[in-house]
Amino acid sequence: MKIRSLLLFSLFYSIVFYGKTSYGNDILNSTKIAGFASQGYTRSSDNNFYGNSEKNSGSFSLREMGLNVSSSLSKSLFSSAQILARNTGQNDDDSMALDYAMIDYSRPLSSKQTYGIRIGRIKNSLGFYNETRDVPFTRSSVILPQSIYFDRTRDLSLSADGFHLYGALNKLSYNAEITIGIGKPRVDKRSTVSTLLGQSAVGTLDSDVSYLWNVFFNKNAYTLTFSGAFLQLNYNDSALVVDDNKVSFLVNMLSFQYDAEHWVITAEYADRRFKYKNLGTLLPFKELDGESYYLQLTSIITSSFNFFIRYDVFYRNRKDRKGTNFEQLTRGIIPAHTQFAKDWTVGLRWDIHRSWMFRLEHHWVNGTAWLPNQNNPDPAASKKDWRLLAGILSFKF
Amino acid sequence: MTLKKKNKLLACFKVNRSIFSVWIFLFLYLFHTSIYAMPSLQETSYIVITHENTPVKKISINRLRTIYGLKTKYWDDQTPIIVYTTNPLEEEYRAFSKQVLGMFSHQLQRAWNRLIYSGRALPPTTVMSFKEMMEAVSTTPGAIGYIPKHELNATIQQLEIRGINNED
Repeated sequence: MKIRSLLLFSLFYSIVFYGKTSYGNDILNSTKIAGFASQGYTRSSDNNFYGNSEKNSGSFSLREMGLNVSSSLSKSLFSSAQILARNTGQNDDDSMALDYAMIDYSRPLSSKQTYGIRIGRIKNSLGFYNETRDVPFTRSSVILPQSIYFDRTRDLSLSADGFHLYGALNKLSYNAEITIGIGKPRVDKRSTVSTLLGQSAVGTLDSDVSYLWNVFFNKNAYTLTFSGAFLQLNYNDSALVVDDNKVSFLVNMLSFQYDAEHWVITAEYADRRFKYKNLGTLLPFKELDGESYYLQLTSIITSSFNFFIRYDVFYRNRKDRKGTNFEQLTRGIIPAHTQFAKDWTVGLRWDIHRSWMFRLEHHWVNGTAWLPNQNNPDPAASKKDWRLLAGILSFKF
Repeated sequence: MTLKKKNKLLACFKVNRSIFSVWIFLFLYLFHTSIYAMPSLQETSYIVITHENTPVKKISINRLRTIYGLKTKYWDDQTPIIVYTTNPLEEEYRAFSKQVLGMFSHQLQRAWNRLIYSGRALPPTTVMSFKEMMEAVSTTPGAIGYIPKHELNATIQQLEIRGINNED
């Protein structure tokens, strides 16, 4: 995986540069390299998050590293690629992966309107933070609100191989942008299988053609985004008697942000609908409607110091918010509190230097719905009420 | 975990919830009072400068915003735009963003991060002083930067900003 990613990354850029030299632009001026590295720390009262955080000394498992290159090739061509390594203390982490690699072709319609197409491996623009969820200083906290940006099925939401069509309108009084994407999402992680189909599912998933949409609107202090995706996955397991085993997944998100000089208010809501076909042996239901939302208030004290408070809610099944039906369906083997999570968080961000950032936060969590099951193999042993302390030191250039 | 410890944890959770409601009221009040606090384009103490070969001598505020918002990547000819900035943690950046672009610096930073780390824009180049800014902009074709008004001298080209009602 490591070598293949590196090869792809360099192959992509040699092709790009080969094309570029024929345009005769100054390569050094219109090509930029950026990168980051970070080390996180988690310590929990119960349950494990990012490694064995329950033990007294906590866990230093969270490490993220990335390197990206971007170049303006001509007036209408732009290209970029990023490799990413992320460790969270789970056995299916990425030692290194090609995060995105794309070519963007755009044309202005007028001085205020642009439309274009992106081709390649493209980040999924879902909500405010999904595209840059692995880059610590672009996030709103050490750990993004897990109701929406949960780690358990992150490979699906990261990026897809395909194309995006977009149109943008930039006026003095407002900006708007519409994006429609078609592609195949990446799905290569064991945690995604066990999260979507339960711990007893031993087969593999592969993705069918999926769709993505994003409508972005900004007027002065207000930013509003409507985004969503429709994903179709095939489950392959020779042990299943019936063929054509499918999971389809529709998510719609509404994101809102208000900026004042010293305050920011952020709220996001997500509605998730799963449909399962011929998977009755693994799951007790054919449909599952989940719901997530959070509200965050950030206080910008100085340009290098801010403080936030957040309430984040996650229901795996909106018809069974307390999880009691699920507990009954599993004959009490899996406790009700694995079906929801309510998380209060307070935290701070300190930009020590333009390249160095430090963050610290404390979570009070009720429920374990977004707890990674690889770090917590026995759901019956998980604690319903738990606390989590998280810190991160991050460097960028 | 002992029962006592657990009760303490739950109590803490409840206290936290009531503190949160107080926060919400405080925020709503502050938002109510600061609803028109969006920076208005005002008489500025900063001027925008470009490399002397830049084909544009006058620019609308809207165009300048799309350049500093990293959305416009080329000048009207084939020269790529190279955006220069001062340290985003310092006052000059905040003042430029607010006075010239009419945006809060945290909005500009967030927009940059989103575009740069999803591969949609070239990162701006950070300089540590206005002296460095003037040197870099005057020697790099396609460069754009900003300096305080009193630093302007004959060796550097000022980019005139059109009235705020002019959108093109």
